[in-house]
Amino acid sequence: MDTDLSAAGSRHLSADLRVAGIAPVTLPGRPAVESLDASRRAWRRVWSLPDRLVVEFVGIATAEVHDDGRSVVLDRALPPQLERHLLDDHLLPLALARKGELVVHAGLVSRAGRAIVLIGRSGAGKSTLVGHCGRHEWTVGGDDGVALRGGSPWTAEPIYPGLRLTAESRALLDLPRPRGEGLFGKWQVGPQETGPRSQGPLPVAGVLLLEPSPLTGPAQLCMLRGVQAHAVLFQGTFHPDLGDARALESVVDRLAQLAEAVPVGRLGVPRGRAGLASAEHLLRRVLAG
Amino acid sequence: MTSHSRPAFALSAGVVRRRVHEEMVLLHVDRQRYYGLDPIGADIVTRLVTQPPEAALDALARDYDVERTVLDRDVAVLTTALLDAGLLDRVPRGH
Repeated sequence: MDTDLSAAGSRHLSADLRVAGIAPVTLPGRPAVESLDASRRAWRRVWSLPDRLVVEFVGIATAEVHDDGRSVVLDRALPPQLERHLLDDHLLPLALARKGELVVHAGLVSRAGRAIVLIGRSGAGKSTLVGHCGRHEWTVGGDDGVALRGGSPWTAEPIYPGLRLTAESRALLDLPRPRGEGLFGKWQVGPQETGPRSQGPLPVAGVLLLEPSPLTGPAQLCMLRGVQAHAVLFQGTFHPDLGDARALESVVDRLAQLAEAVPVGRLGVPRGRAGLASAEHLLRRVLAG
Repeated sequence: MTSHSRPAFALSAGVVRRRVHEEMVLLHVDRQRYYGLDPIGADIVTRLVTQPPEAALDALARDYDVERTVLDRDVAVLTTALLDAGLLDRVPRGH
């Protein structure tokens, strides 16, 4: 039986969050959960309080996200593009995770009404592969956050249907040189460049951990089971960033259900056009089951 | 009930245990330490936290058809690792 999941009460997740005002934000006087960059310096600090989240983007801004799930207070005005980036790529996933959604740092592409979720750390190549797929008859969902929901079948919904690429990735996909000023070295890619976007929840055909490969040759796919599959999923979630120990038990349980219901694997993708092309062929194989 | 009829080990407070297929995930939620056990490791831990030690080890030696000295050594390696990771606690005798 086909189910029109996109009409089944779904709404565009990113419509939930907006900046309600600019005001001083007090940093809580207790340890935060820190995210570290490659140089082991904190670039983000998160405090999960009983009624709100406080998130410090070190050197950029501090935000307060209230538990009404909609309003954000920033401690300073930001350029629109930067504000939108912080809301969509950082605050919204954390807010959704805090509300109980199972949220992973991932891109989403779909074909024939079924989605493949591409988990990966920043710089793994999610956006580039998503863009490549969009130019090869896949529908782009998004490139940075996905909400996963249990059921029969499990479904995946992009946090927001955006795609941002570096100038290098745009060139790799034969897209024109970007215009204007990018944000952290990336530029928005519109539907006119990579085809239509999907927004609603779709059945999940597979979840893959994307890993850049230093090798040449075709992309490599290794399907996983058990703890290895669970570990791939767990490392992709936003929940540990919240430091909410009680919520993690539910996350572990739901990820186990997901690992037992949906194919999970590692996809090693060599840099370059040939790597992307072979990776896209492997995604079609995953879709075909 | 004597101490010899109780399990010798218990999962540490704050540890979440979950089977995934035949394997097992252990997560210390406060320390955010994640550990995975293969099917045999999962079976060993399950028995050690639910059965008295001698009964658990006798049953494991029988079920896996392994010499008791080899089993004792392998179990010691596993329990030491889990104790060091804060995922397992020894149950005090006489408790």
